[in-house]
Amino acid sequence: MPFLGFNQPSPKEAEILQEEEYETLLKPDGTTVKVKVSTLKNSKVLKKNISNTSLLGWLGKKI
Amino acid sequence: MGDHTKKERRKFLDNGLKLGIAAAIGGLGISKITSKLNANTEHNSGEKMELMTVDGTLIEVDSSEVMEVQHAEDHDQKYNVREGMPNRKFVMVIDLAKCKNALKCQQSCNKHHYITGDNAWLKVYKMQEEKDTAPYWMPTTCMHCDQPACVTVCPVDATFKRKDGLVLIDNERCIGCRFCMAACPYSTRVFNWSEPNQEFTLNMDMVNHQYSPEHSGMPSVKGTVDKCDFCPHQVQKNELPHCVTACPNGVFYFGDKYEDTVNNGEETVRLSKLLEEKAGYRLMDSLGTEPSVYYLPPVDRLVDFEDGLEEYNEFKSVDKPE
Repeated sequence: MPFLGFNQPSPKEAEILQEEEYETLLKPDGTTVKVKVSTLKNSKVLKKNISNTSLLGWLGKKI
Repeated sequence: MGDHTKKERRKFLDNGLKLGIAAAIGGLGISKITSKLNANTEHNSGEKMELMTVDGTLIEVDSSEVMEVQHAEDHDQKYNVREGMPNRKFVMVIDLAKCKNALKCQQSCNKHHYITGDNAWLKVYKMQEEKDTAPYWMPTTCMHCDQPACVTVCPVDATFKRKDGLVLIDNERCIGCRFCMAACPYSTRVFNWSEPNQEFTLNMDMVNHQYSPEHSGMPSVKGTVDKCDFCPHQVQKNELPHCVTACPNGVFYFGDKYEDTVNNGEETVRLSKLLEEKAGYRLMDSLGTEPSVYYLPPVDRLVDFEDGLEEYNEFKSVDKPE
């Protein structure tokens, strides 16, 4: 029934969520965050293999 | 009677079944709506965030997919004025071949540190080793020694050496004994015999001023010792000391020894390369004071010594700040 846990993920699904792999990524303010690998695969790629100059520029540091 | 009871019961059961089906359908509908709402908040906040992967790819993900990482609290983040700027080692290089006694360095230093009279922190001397050798101009500052004699002799811990290389004075601790002046082999320290004869106007910065040994925006204190401080207030703003930026001839190089880089406002060069190529040296190196100021000898001079004589004043007095 809908009110009795009908909408809850099954135990199998919960296990998958716990085992989900995460990757650590850098934010422009210099701190780090974690994002699911599955999300990364579906994310929009803005630029690949950026240079050191671009990286420092992205981080807002003077060169 | 029996028929009537049966009809009533049937009617009751019929109504109960209808109500049950209606409740089930309604509940399912509400459940679907709420699950859709949840999906909207969890999977699409609409706010995008740029992130960098470890292999150098710049990606864009929805901010709702990002999980904040708990960062360890850094207990050393609180700035300690006696420790200085972490992972820094400041050095200065003075190129004697370029100096023509324009004295812009001194004027700028005086202006920003409210210095007048004989108390200039930066002095330019007329030098000549022999009668038959060419004279040259020699700017001098505090050497910010790594083994500072002034710090060793100070009885009240008013003058101190920081990890970033700077030797500073806490004028609130200084008792004016002048032991440091006697100990300094470079004679760069000055004593404030009287209230500073300085013309300045109070600004908001001064009104709300809290004393700090590295803050130069206030007049000197009578009865205490003063000296060049390598302008830490400028360095914290990622700017060069006043003498470096004021010099029109690029005489002063300032930088970080750990980064092996110095800058004179015009060019950035490798410290080790500059010292090696131009035979850099330190004053009275044999004393073991290990100064942070290096000199480049006045060879292949780029300027005419005579030009500087117009500004020469024997240090009877120095310019008042503009």
